[in-house]
Amino acid sequence: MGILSQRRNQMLLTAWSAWLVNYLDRTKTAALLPLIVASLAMTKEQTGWVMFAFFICYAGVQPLAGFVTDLVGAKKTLALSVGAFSIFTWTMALVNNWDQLLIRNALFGIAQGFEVTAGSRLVATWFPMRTRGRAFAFHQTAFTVGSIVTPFIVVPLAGALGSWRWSFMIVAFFGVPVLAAIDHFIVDRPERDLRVSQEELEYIFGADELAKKHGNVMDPTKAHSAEELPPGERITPYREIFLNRSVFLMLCAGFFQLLTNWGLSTWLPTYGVRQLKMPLLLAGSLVSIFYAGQFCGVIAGGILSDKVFGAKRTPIWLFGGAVASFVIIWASTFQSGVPLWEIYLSFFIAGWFMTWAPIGQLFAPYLAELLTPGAVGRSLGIVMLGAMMGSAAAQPLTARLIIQTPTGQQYWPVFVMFAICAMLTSLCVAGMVEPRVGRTYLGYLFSGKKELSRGASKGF
Amino acid sequence: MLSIQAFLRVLFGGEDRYHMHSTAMFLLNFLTGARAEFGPTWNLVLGLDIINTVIVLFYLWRIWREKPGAPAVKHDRA
Repeated sequence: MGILSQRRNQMLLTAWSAWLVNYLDRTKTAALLPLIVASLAMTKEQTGWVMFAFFICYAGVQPLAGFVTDLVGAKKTLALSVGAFSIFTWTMALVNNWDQLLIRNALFGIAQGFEVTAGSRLVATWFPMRTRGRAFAFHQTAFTVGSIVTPFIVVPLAGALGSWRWSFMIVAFFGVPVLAAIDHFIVDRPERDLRVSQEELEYIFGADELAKKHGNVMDPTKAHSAEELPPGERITPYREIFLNRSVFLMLCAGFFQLLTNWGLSTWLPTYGVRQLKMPLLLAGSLVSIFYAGQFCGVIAGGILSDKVFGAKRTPIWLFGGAVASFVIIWASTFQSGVPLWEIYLSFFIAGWFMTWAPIGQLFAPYLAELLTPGAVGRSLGIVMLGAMMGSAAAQPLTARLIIQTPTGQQYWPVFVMFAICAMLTSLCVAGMVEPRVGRTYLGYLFSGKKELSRGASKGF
Repeated sequence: MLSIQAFLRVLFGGEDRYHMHSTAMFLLNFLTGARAEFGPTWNLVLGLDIINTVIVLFYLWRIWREKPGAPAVKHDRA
């Protein structure tokens, strides 16, 4: 009870629930797709367009979502996203043909795009730097849990009730308790919450910062002096957000990371069946193994970043892409007859280290520390736009690179592309400034661990 | 369906209101396949949809009408 009586943890659990229902829908649509395709008599091309509509609208709305989050507040933005989840989910149960499904999925992508910026902004604002990595790691476990458990909820529901439509009708109600929790537990800023204790505020901001700042200018781009701002914030003009080398490199890293991540997780079952000649059920389990690796990777990365690297974020990302790259190359050599444990081990490790990347974890702490918590929504919106383009590009690129041989399909060119993208993710991170030391992490190591002040660094 | 079409013609007053009739038919056709698949539980489905929407709109209304709070007095120690 002690942990849950803290207001920041109540807020975190609520944001986690919202992120979970967000992934619940994405995964349930994918899990029930074979039934939906049969029910609506959809062609492969129509199915592709329906999935593409979600991703492109989700990507396109990110910059707007970032602005809305920062300017209207994370609570309202989060509520809007979850409310839309509930309503669009039941409308899905009533669709009759693929173009209705396409419109619904496009609207859904727009609505869901508002969740990630709001949840990230809340964690960045409510947690101090020394525990922010772990708190955000917990927040990010929602997407792995959602991806793993959803098929085990929606598929049996559809089977028991005789139609995929009933799964959507029931899951639509999952958003209602989350909305109630948002209403009850979430407040945009800690110092504006009447239920937070003085001790907790001092834990979040530190006694000095709390005593010094009482400002009412909520937008850090509009403040003229530090005193105008609330505690935990610093003046951050727009040019620092949008003309920022580290933000741009994070966008590029996110593109390569999500191209690999979504490409792998989407195509793994087909690869298992076609190249490794596995039964469908076993091939499907490759995705679960991949997400189990992501679950462990997210938690381990948050703990290591806070405890071992002293709240530095980029070392985790540098390591992640490079390791994932080697593991994916190893997996590209697999053929039919490779021991199952070897296949499972490789995709578990690949899943683990693909989350050690800028859009897998630690992105909210990083942007809050590079810029300020009040600019996390806007900067993340830009970064997510680039990253989601990677996930949209993954599907056609992968399809184009599969080789057809007399003995069946071969996926090694796809895996080589994924390995190159994973390595490029790490290379982009190598050029990003580590906020704790004021310079790139490699520059910090090669200079004998000399730190630079914020003003002296060119990357800010 | 035929009786519904006849009912709509009467309701909308013949050919001069054809566009209104067409719109209403479109909305009916929009739900026909789903209705057939839900069968006798169709009314339950509509009831659940309405309940869901009302609850969601209630919470959205509550949350969006909230005014941003001032800093709590007890924290103002300047």
